[in-house]
Amino acid sequence: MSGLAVELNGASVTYETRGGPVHAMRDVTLEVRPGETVGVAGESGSGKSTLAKALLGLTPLSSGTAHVLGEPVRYLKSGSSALVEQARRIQMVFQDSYTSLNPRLSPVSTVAEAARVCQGLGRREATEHALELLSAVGFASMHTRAAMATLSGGQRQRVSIARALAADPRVLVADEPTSSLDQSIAASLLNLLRRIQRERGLSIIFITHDLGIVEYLADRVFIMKDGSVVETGPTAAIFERPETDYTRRLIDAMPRLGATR
Amino acid sequence: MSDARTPSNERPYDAAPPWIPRDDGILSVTDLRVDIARGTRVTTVIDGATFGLAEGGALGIVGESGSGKSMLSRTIVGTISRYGGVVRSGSVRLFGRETAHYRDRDWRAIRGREVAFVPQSSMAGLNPVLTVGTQLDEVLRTEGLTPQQRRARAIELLELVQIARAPRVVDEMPSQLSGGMRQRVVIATALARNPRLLVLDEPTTALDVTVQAEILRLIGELRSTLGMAILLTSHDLAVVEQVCDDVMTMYAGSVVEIGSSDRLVAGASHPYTRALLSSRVEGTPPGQDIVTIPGEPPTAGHWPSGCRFRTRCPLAIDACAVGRQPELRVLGGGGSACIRTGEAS
Repeated sequence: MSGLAVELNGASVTYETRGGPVHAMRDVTLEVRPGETVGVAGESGSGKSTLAKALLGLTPLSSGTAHVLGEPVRYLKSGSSALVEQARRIQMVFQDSYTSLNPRLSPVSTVAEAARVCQGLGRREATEHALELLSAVGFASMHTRAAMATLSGGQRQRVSIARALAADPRVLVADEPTSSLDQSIAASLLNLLRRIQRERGLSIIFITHDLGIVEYLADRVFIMKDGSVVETGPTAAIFERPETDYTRRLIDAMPRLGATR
Repeated sequence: MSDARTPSNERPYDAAPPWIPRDDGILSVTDLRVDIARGTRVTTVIDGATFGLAEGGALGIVGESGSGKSMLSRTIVGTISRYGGVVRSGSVRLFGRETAHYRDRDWRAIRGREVAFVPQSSMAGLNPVLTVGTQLDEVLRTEGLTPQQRRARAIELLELVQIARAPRVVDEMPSQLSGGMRQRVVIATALARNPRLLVLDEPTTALDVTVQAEILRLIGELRSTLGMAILLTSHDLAVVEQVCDDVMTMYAGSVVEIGSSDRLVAGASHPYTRALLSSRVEGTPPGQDIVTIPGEPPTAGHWPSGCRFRTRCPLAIDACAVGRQPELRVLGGGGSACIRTGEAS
């Protein structure tokens, strides 16, 4: 056992398309320690979302290895018991809560379902646990049985986080979880993720094109371009002394107040 | 980063602020109220917007979802009726004409030629089954040009928005272009008939940061080469501040603050603008919580009495709940819709 929360070793993902193979992720090596926050940043098409899918076992590796808590990540059919085991190690929060949440389930049923499947809780226990988790993520108690479509984007994203926590994972992958939210709402979600991490000792992999969030949140950064990691290091070092032109361009492009003066 | 806001420093020091509505301005909005009708339900989406824009000026509108900023830009370009909207009261003077109650046929004479619109999604601005050239050609047909002249002008417009391979791109389909290239094409289409006012609604929101930076630089450069005025909405203060001389903040359908971009960065007055500034992740030291605004913005139809920000405002007092949304008070070169503006802070 390496003691690492997440380990990718020479991992590649290739999709076969009619136009030939597409190398979505190339030879990526990445380690995440327990309790650490790692930022993965790059433009669209850089492979950062593919990296998330590979860690969750949602897409097969074409070469290399992926481990979470020392266990190999497997590409599994939904409903299998091995998939549930995997889900208890690593969970994901997606950007688009409209498509990642079932519109027919209430917030409490959404979270309870995850607690039932992943932790084997009975129906009543699962509901109680779901209510606790929704309260812990700051979800308004009066909306726990509301229709998903009536909730704001920020409230839905809290449901997504509570659902992820219902599996009691050790690793949370957040793929642009705040990029479709208003600034004031995004800020409170970032505070929430930091608090959850402190309280639960989670490892967080935060995937974003927003380097401002990475600079604030991440201990270490992986910069991706065309499927490869082009630069990695401690956050402060990367922002102070970027080694590649690509990273420098990303940093320079960040909208900063007062930058025009 | 290069300064996209080139003409900014030429304003005479003692001149009246350009955002005060004036008869000789290209745009003067006063006491605007806009309602949206859906079936029998009527919801007010803008109530309390007064501002002006001078020839060649650049005004940014910042606000979160539901603030009314997109509804406002649609009202100004005359497309609000497509969303069930109608100007209930107040005035929108565009190039000296009162357009508040214009019909579609009235708009046809000025839209594109005097005021042009760039929507958020470049896919909404382009027809996916027509080549870039065909789409530009459709706009240029009204200009009395021959087909050869139109094609030449289409290529010229693509070069104006700094598309490198313009003679080839003109024959390509939107799907062959990147998101940034598509947004450039949308801007080229908007510029086809030499508008004097370009209204851009969140033009870079769907783009990567690097592409966003390029598009913002382009907008600033087009403004100085073409001399047109710019009205740009964004949820990001830093985006607006980069391109615009003046910025106004909208909250729950009303303008709560307006002033120069420099003043905004140096010290905003309205508690909402201040809260927006302090809830930026940039500038918050790692390891510290971001200062957030409690709760969520109220949706249209559910605005509180009095000041609409008071339910989330750290400075709210009992008097804030009384009456209507406060009007803008002009103080120290800026306007702020807060009854506590001017108190010692």
